[in-house]
Formats: sequence, structure tokens, C-alpha cells
Amino acid sequence: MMEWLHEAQYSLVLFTLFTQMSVGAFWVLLVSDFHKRKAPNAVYDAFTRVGTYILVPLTALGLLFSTTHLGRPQYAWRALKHIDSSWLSREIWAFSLFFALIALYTYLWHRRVKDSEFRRHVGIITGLVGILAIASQIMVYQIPGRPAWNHASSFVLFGATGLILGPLAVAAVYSFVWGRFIDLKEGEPIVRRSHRRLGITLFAGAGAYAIGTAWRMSFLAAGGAAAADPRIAGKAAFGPETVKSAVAIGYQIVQDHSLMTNLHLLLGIGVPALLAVGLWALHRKDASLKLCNALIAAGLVLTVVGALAERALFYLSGRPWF
Amino acid sequence: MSEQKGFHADMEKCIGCKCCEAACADFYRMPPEIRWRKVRSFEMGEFPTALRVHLSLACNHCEDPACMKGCPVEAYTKRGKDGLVIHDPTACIGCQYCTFTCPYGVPQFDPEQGVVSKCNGCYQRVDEGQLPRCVESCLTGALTFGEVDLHAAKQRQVVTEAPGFPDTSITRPSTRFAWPKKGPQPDHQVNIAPPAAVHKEGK
Repeated sequence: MMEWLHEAQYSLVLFTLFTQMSVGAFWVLLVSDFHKRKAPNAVYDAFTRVGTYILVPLTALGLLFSTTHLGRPQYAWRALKHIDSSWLSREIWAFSLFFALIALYTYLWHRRVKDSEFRRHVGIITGLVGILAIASQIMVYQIPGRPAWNHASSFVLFGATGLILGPLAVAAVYSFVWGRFIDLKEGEPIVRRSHRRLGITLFAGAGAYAIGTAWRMSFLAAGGAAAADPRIAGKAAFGPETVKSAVAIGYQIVQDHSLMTNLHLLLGIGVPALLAVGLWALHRKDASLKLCNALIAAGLVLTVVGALAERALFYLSGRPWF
Repeated sequence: MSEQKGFHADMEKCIGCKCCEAACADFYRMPPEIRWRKVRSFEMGEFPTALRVHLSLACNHCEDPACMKGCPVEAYTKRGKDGLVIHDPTACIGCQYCTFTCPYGVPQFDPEQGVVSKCNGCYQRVDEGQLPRCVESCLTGALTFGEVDLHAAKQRQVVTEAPGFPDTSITRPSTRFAWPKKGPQPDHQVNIAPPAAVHKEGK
């Protein structure tokens, strides 16, 4: 089991998922921050403020898991040295900066600093750094040395993960806060509105996730088909042909892990899409918010399982090819 | 003229004895799971003229080393005088990114030490005018080492491709090959044993 977990790069799976979730969650809260710019609302602010409290732990967890991948984690700081040419170094810079900025943004909310424009300026910079961090995370895997990873569909898949998991995490926090720290009646309209927006975002995210998955699968399948071509089957691969055979290996691995593929499709894509439709239908009938909140909590757990399966498959498919 | 140095592996002469592997592992006192040099065995050609072929490979000391470009801690250097790619284990943090970026699977992670290691071309020996340990130990002269541009003058055949050897346009490896005399030649399509069989054999 441990060998399999290492092969699936479990520490990188958790690092990428938690950090992408954090960037997605941050953008939801930043949009909330800007949304109430012209008509401030104390209850709305309370939701957003408590929502920011998940950002630091989420990113910290992600960064912690990234260090568990290292053979000598005590020297992790050295990874900042080669920013001029290494995407890995750039990724670490970007996420370190993102972490510092979300800590500042959370602090500004926590202390209820009156200068909300300053906070929003910090927020815009933080959001842009977050996007750069995800972009550099994707570039780390755009490497010819692992042809099964070296494909533009990673941009869609990694982005969609943040788009789905981030808003779901924020919605789960809102559900938790409502009724405990925020008055039930005062908070209800805000929770209902946030659920409708969550539904739209989840639908868009699930669509992007599905497109990214189909794109990646067709890329891997093309490699598999090329390798199975009777004109070259059983022949030694040379030059660019070896790249196709590496992609074919990735395709074979995905086929061998059909359970994980199904988990990704059903839970990673299916659950958020169903949740989006379910929230829309439930709110049309003014259904119980407790039911909606329970569905969101369950949806978050199931979607995380689906995303874990997708990411583990991604790493497994990039097996060394020589 | 480039002074890039590299290995030349003659598949005609190699008998798959793995002396090169053992000599390297012994010289550098490697743990059993780490092998800087590996001999791969496979079959090529068609019955009744099919051949059992052995290919001895270590670091290719590439012209454009992907391991060096991706390393976040500058643990890799490429020597100006002979192009050998050297890894410094004291700088390495064990992020293993070089094991991803190298298409040839050359850098290997040692969990015990927490760092990656790879063939350094025995640069200390080379600096003293000696040959790399693997080359010195080769019984049949299948493995040679020297300036890449001079291989042509000394070897029967000098080609950049070997069966299954990853696309050389990615990192421009300095390793050169000579194919078996009586077997298929590089300009022809080559039958080869299924990868699974080769993999098992390689183990």
C-alpha cells in the first residue's frame, strides 16, 4: 500500500489539491468582498470574515504536504534559489508569497480594519499571485521528460479543481457558521443567495473538469492507438515514436485503474454537477436550508474523493518510460 | 570542435555480463536498489536471425540537460571543459524533480540518504587522465569513453539512436551507439520483444 501511495505521489496529490482549493476559496471571498463594496452589510461581512479563516490552514496544509515529498525537508528553503530557470522554484516562490498575502488579508478582516479599500487592494494582488502560483504549478508538469503529463489539458484540470473545491469549501464554512455565530434569520437570505451562486460556479467547474478530462483522455488514447497500430506494433520505437509509446503507457495505466477513473468521473465531475442542479431545484421550492447545507457538506467530501482519484491517476500515468 | 565527452556503447561487443554495473556500484558503494549504470537486454530482428542484444546505459551527459534546467536548488552543473553533468548531493534537497524531467530515468532517489544521485562520469578519475570505472571494467571493450566528435574515428559505427531510447531531440544526449553487425540497422524498422518481456528481463 505504501509503495502504491509513493508511486501515486500522495504528498504532491495533497499539496496540489489543498493549494488549488485555497486559491479557489480565496477568489470566492474576494468576489464577496467586492460585491458588497457599495452597499455594506454587517451580516454579509461576518460571513466573509469567518470564511477567510480557512485560507491560512488550507494553504499551510498544502505547503506542509509539499515538504513531506522532500528527502531533506529541513533544506526546503533552498528551493527558492533557482527562480531564473526552474518552474519548481517559481512555484514555491509564488505559493510562499500567496501564503504571506492571505495571512495579511485574513488579518485585515480579523481586525476589522476600517480601510477596506486597502484590504481589497491586498486582495487583488493576492488573487493574482494565487493564479500565478497555480500556473507555475501546472508548468512544473509541462515537461518532455514525462510525455503523459506534457499536455495543455493540465491547465483545465488544475484550474477546474480550484473552481469546484474552493467555492464548496467556502459554502461548507458558511453552513457551519450560520446559526452558530450568525443569527439564523439574518443570515438566511445571504446563505440562500450564496447557494445559488455556488450552484452556477459548480456547474461551470464541473463542465470545465469534464472538458479537461475528455481532452486528456483523448490525448492519452491517441498515444495508445498509435502504439497499437499493426504497422509499428512489436517494432522498436525510435525518436518521436518513443514519445507516443510513453503516452501509450500512461493510457494503459489509466485503463488499469478503472475504479479510480470511475471515482473521478462520478464523484469529481458528477457530484458537483448534481449538487448544482439539486441546489437550484431545492431553492426554487424554498426547501430547508439545513438539507441544502447537509448536501453541500456531503458534496464537498465526495468531490474531494473524486479529485483525489483524478490527481492520483495523473501522477500514476506519468510513469518513467525508459 | 566541441570537447563534449560521452560514452559509446557497442551492442555487437556487449555480452551482458554487467561488469560495468557492478564495478560502478562497487566503486561508489551504492545501496543495492541504486544503479548509476544499467544493462538492458532485449531481442531484436526476426526468427531465425533474431538477436539477443544488450545495451549498457548510464547518464548521457546531455548537451541540454533537463535535470539541470529543472533543479530548484542548482545541484547540477555542466562542466565547461568536457560537458560532464555533475550532481552535488550536498546541495540536493531530494525533491526528485530531476527524476521527472530526465527522459532516460538517470537520476535515482535514495530514500535512505534523502537525496538523488546519478552517474557523474567519474569526473575525478577523468581529471586524472583515467577512464570511468565502468569503461575500465568492460571485458569486451564494448563500452568506451571520450570526446563525442572523436568516436567516429575510433568506432565501427556511431549513431545517436538505440531501440526504445527516448527521443534525442529533448535533451541531445552525448551517448553514441554501434548496432550489432548482423542484425537490423538503424535505418530499418526493427522488431523487438514486447516491452513487458524486456522489462522482466531487465529486472
